Amino acid sequence: MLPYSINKLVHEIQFPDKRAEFEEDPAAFLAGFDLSGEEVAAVQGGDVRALWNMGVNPYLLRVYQIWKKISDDDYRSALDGLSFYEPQGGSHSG
Amino acid sequence: MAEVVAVFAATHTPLFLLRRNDPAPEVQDEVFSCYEGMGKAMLDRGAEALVVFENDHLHSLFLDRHPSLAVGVKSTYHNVASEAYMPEVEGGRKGDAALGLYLVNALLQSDFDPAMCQEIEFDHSIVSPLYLMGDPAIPIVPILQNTVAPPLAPARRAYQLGIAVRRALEVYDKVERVAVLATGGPSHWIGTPELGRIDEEWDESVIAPLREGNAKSLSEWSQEQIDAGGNGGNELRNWLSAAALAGDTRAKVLCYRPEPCWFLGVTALEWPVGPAL
Repeated sequence: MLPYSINKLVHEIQFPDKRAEFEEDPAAFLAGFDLSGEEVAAVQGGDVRALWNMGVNPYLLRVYQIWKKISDDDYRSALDGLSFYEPQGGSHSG
Repeated sequence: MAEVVAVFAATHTPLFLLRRNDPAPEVQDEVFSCYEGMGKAMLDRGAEALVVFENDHLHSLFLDRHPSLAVGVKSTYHNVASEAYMPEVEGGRKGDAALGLYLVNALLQSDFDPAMCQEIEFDHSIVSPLYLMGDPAIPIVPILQNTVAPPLAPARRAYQLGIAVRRALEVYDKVERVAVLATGGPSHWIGTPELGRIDEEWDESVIAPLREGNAKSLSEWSQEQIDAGGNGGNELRNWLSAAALAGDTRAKVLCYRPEPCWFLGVTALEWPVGPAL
């Protein structure tokens, strides 16, 4: 099972209206989520490796990557050495 | 009683829209003409409804209440707001709400438990192939299976789903002709460390049994075998539903074109419609 709050945040900021709210006042927007300081820093800092390690779903990370204008090469480099399935539940059936 | 007049599978990707003209011209010609041909065939064969096996990518559906199986029962669908680059059809794409509701009921009678969805919209799973097909104006019933967030149902459920939908259509009397489309597949890696990888061997390992009329063997695959095709490989479930619906006949490969610009081997299949299983 994927961790809920961090995935919910990355899910919500896919949507233009929510993203605008987030960008306008990040602190107010983030107050609605149960997130650690590390999670907040990763989302705000474009740290896709940290987000991956926290268990953000890859499809949500892809949208996030495009929003943050991270090139495909840079994305692969950022995730270099990580396994497909960890920590995504160990397996898609997990 | 509704006759199934076409059963296709066709790859989906947002890159069909975002990087539409990046591949070599001959690749574009091959792929676009193939998809246009599928759209034209649905219209030429008089399809009055289009049942689409597909999967949302956490746009319309989310982990707060994430169904393994869902059926849309709307009369109009718009694009999800989170994929704003997708072309919208004026007034939205039409849905066949009556057929959707009928299938929900029929699936319940067949021991499936679909979520009935009155508020979902289309993501690239359905928009990207339909757009390349020329957006045939055929009312749609989307049948969504979870292929994106574990835990996932075993592949055999997708096969059984196709059988159940076919049996339901055979006794449906509100339309005479139905087309079926399964979107997605084959191997691809999206948002993972292997982003953009294509595994032609894995692709052939799933296409070959389909060509031989043996989707049943794939329905017995373990999650580990499916995972070897990347997170996108899980969309094999949509293909298995279509194959089983067609009677697990020998699929004709209309197109298989590995295309790095689009992160996958673009695949289009057609199953001749055999007796219901």
